[in-house]
Amino acid sequence: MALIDHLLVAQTQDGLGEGAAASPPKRRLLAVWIPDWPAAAAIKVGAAPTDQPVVVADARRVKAVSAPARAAGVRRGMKRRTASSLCPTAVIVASDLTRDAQVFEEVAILVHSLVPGVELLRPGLLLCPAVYASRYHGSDEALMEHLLTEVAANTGVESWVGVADGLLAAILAARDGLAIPPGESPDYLAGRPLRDLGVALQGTAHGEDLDVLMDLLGRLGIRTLGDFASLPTHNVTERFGSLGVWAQRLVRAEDVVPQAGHRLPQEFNTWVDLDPPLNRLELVQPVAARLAEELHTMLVAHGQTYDRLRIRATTETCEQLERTWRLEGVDSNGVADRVRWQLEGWLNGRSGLAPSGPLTRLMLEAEEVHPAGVGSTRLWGAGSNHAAVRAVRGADRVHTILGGQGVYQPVAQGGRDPRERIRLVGWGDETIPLRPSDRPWPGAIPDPPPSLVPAQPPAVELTDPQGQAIEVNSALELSGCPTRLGRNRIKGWAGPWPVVEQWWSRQAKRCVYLQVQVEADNRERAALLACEGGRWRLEGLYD
Amino acid sequence: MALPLAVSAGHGAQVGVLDRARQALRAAEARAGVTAIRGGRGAKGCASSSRLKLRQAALSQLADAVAPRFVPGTVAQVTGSTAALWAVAGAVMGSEDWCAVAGLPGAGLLAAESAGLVLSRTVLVPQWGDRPPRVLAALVDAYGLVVAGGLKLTAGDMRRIEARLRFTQGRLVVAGRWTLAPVVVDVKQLITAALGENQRPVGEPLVDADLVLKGGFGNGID
Repeated sequence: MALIDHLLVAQTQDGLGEGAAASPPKRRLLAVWIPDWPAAAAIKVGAAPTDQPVVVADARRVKAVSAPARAAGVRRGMKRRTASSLCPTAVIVASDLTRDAQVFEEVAILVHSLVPGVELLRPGLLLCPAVYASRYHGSDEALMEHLLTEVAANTGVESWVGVADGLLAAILAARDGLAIPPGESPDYLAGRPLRDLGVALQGTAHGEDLDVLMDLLGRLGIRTLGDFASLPTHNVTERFGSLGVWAQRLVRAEDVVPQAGHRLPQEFNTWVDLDPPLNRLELVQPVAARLAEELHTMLVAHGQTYDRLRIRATTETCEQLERTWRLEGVDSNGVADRVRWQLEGWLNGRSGLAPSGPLTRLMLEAEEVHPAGVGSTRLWGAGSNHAAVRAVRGADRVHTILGGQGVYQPVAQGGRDPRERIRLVGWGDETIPLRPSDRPWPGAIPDPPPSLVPAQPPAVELTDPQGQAIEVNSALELSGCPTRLGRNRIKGWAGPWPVVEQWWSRQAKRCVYLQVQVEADNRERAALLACEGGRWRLEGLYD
Repeated sequence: MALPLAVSAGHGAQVGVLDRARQALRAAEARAGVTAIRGGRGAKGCASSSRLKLRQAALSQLADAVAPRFVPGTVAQVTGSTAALWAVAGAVMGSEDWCAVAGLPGAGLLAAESAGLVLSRTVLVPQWGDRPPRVLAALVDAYGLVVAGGLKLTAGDMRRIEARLRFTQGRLVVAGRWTLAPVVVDVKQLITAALGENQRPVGEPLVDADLVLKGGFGNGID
């Protein structure tokens, strides 16, 4: 192993990583946001008066406020006592997510009738794919105007609408009432204050963790979303873990969607025939919990996770009900909650469109299914698979011990030599191949690949029988027969394989590869050599 | 590899079961290219290890010979060939295992993938940093399979790592020396097909290797 040890000693980890990952595809989304929805829902169901300030709070903190209460200085997150002192006339209503979801169903049904593909992110906020709807209405602005008018006219609530690339940009665009042109979302987000991240994503399962993250970022001097987006991903991974990476992807408007052409190995769904038919709210909870657990178990068994949940129900009169929820930072209990909210929303008929009869079948379908650990969201942590979760935690830990550039993920990709066929990506960055591997790659070095590929290939001397250095002419031919590699005698050789790549660009490559078999340390060794710019180097060892 | 050793029909039936197990393993080892076997005896008539010599065996045959004895919670020492290292690691990487390759900055990951490592479930830690035992312990805790090279550990560190392995039921493949490793693969020679002048390229290699396989079942059990 002396030769190998010599090679390994000379190697450093510099040059292992590559440039930034290619940008993933972005989704153009329309967001419909009803501000202060918990307060609006309480007023709609009669739990609060319409002519007084309303504060929605749990046992300790304020969760939402109406506009008059906000004008009096009450803010989300305040203590109840502080809110009461600031606005003595405010009516304090207990927070009730089920009530919020039930009442919001009316808005969801209306928007769904105007734009197909509605996804509920949380009560008060829904998303739709914007591309085709905008084309139908003529422009993003026309679509937004149409929705604003229809929602106000039919539900009596004032909505804010926005269109942008990616989840976070769409939500913030809705707050501003803007349509951000395609490709400009990162610039739109860059100048916004960091607190907008928490404001936009309040109510998701990451809520409290996000508050901690933003507090920490603020203390580190990160003031804007652009500052956060510009941090190297591996540093974010090292310091803030998977939550930080998730948040940074949103800030960069890099919501990852399944690759085009990706086919699900199978459909993941679960259903139950309800006998007797379900028409009582108190029976909803066990059904929702059981189905959510079944779906979770099924996906875990296949090492998959998912980003969208479609809930379907059939009534006694064969009416079909359907709603899709986006699971942004939602765990398995959160899934059961959303199923329960949806069923209760259908059954209590507050939407004005009560089902035509009791429910006879309920089905849950997982959508945007992808292997655990590679998705954009962290539905069950980093992945459903226990081994994957352990592995991610382990890599985070080692990354913390070693610091930046300590952990890499290898990605197989296309190429002609063994080095370029593996891309090493810093831990936490996107594992996207830069070159497709399913192309023929003519002139590639034949398999088997070398078992050792020095990170820093050492220079070597290749000579002919007369002791002259072997040279490569302009036609990429050898000047003589290789006889010695350094002081070692060459027993045989194969090749050469000339490779000329991208001769039209600055990344042009003219290289010749050669396999040689030498005697060293009383053992035969095969090596892969490369000559570029008149210099030979040891590219790999078949050891 | 759990064999039905516990039988209720008495000593005679137990011997019959062991004979059948022995014959099956002999056949498997013969298929793997084992040409010579020496079984060492342990206490009370039970062999503690088997010594196998592979001559001009393919790497897949080497992996087949090692994999049944390389049980979870143990260490395999592989010296003399990186290709053999990948072959052993690839043979024991389960369908859901994650693998960490550490201390091997020149790892030929394409060759590792050819040998059976799944790169989408593999991470690379090229350097150990200032505290190799701490990094190795973190990897052993989290990964079902760890391939490690360039290690210089004390005997105490090795024992602590082995204890963690027994707890996590992971496997550690070491490129280099590991005291008291139950699986030892020493490759004496890696034989690539002779390259003629400007002739066919390097093909799949053959190996001459000595194996020491401790514990488990096999020809060494009497």
